[in-house]
Amino acid sequence: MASGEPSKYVTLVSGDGFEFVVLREATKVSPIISGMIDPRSGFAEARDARCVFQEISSPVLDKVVEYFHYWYQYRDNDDVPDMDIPVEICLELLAAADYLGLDQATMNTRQWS
Amino acid sequence: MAEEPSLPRLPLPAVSWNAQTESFSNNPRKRRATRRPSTASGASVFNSSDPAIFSSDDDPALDNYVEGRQKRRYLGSWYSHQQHHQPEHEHEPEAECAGAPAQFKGKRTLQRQYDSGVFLASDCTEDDDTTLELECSMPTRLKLPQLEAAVRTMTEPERALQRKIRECVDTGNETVDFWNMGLEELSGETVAPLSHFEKIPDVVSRDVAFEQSPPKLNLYLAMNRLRMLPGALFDVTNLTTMSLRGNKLESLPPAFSKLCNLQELNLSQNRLRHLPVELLRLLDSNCSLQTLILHPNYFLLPAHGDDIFEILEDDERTTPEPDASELEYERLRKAGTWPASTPEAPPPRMLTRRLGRSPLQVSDATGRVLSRFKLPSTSSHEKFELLDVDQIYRKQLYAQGVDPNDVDILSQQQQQVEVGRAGQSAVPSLVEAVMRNCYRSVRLGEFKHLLPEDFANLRQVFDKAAEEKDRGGLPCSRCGTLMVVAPIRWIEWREINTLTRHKTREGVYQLDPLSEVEDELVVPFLHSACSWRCAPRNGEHSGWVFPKGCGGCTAGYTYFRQGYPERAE
Ligand SMILES: [Zn+2]
Ligand SMILES: [Zn+2]
Repeated sequence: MASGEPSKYVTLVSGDGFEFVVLREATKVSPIISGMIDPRSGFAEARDARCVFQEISSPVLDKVVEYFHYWYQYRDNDDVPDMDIPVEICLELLAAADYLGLDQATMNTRQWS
Repeated sequence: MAEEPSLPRLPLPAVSWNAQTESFSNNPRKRRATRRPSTASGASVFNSSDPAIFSSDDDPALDNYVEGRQKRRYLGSWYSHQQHHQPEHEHEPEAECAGAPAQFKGKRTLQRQYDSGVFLASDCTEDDDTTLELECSMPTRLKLPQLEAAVRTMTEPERALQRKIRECVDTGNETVDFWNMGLEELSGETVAPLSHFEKIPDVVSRDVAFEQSPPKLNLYLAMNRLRMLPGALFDVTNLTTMSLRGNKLESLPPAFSKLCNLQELNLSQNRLRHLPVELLRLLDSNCSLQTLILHPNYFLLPAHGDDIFEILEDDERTTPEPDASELEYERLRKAGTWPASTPEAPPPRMLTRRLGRSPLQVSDATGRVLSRFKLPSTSSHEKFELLDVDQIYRKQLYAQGVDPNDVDILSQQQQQVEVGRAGQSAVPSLVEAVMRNCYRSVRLGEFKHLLPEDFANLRQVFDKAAEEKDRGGLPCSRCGTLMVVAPIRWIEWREINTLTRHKTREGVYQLDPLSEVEDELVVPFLHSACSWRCAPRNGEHSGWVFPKGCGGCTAGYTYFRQGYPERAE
């Protein structure tokens, strides 16, 4: 995996050791993950296509992964259903979203700053 | 980040965060023992919304956690066991351990003050029940005054208005006159009874089957000191006349558009910088607005014509172009398929058209402005502030150490729109998606107090969410999606004209501006978009905008600009 095409999937690991395999394209909405797994970065994460988030628990990372798929599935749609988030993980998810840079409506808006 | 050889650790807030949340989340660390980590291909491994079993001493502040100690166990989510400082719980002081000071610092006190019995008891039962006695034997019941302080105290003028409204509702009086009464605050609680107003049956005509016509409510709040209007006011949909003249209103909520039965609206002499574009819905032909008084206010106007990012050509067109629905109407009418019973709708009372708009303000989900252009704050007390885009850009560029003369500002704006377009998606950011869920929760007011202070940016979003909820919601101006923070905002300048039937000529109407004063010909409207999909498109339909639902009501009429009809046709 060290050379050639970057893998189609990346693995996200929660602090409590759960692994989530996600389509690389779907994680592009997070500038943080994109940066980590960018083959040009030279990070270990990029080599292994694997990111460990010590501080994110599995139910929260599960929801983050759900968001990646939600974003990927609906990014070109006009009608986007609401994403249901149980209220008890809202705060933890909010902090994770903030950390992962998931605070902008589209990936390209990063270019404003 | 790229310049660092190894991956940075998560910032500290996430650390404290995680520990913090274990107490009220599903407590994954404790579950680990029973669930084997597995490779999941993105499918839900957990049903994170199933009722979690949590224990009372999951308080992360308890560093000296003793394994095997007797725990209180509760089934269900953390929040269903908490009693908070919400109004309905205000009078349950026994749940509070150490009173409820208005401020708190740090996690532990946070747990103490805003969590009730469940968590507080656990704080206090740290070792055994005696500690509980000692620590919690604070005369909690005597702490009542502090709890009372959290309750919004109603000002005397508002109390008087409340009595007046009650009296009007009781006696069937449709007019609430509260002119110049020193009213500074208005809560939903005070106006809500008006939405249940019922007319008193007319005894004289009791032989006629009692026909309940909707009341025609008149609310006169002129010459008070109101800064805000509660969302509940816009549920009083039977309002027919409302005067808010001479208050201190700085902005109006989009929910204003619900007052479709308003015939007369007076907003003059406030501090309004702009109006919500939703207000224009009151001009739709299914609404009743006849009289609209907007000036004077602190309306934002472009400093120079070339400060408007996109300015439309004033083509002096006097006859409005029919829109698609009209053409369809004409086609049906010619084909004879138009239902004969459909009465000709009267022409609209007012017509508006776009003149141009400001650049776009782009922000992230926490409200931080990312674009060079930033809308001026609504609370500025400058009376005649002009929106000088040029100046705004120049200041910013200087701050960035760039010589403004080296930058083609307009083409940068253009680029911004194009790049935004390229990545346009109607999917909200995850922060916004979470916030929309919190917004829908009845416990919206509580989240903020559970967030550690490190998350100042996120705590601020909760304030915004609560504010928008109080105001009756922030919909996307184009698609109506309810948002917490609008990622894209801009001001559109419009001209509003009234239509008057010509004295002698049949089917001829005269267009008159709302105000004769030159500076008041242009009215700024605030647009809020949920995403780039709902952002303005260059070159989109300009010119006169016909009210929605007016299908064909303009056909066969001729409109003239003021003065025009005097000349021979
Ligand atoms: Zn200028
Ligand atoms: Zn929208």
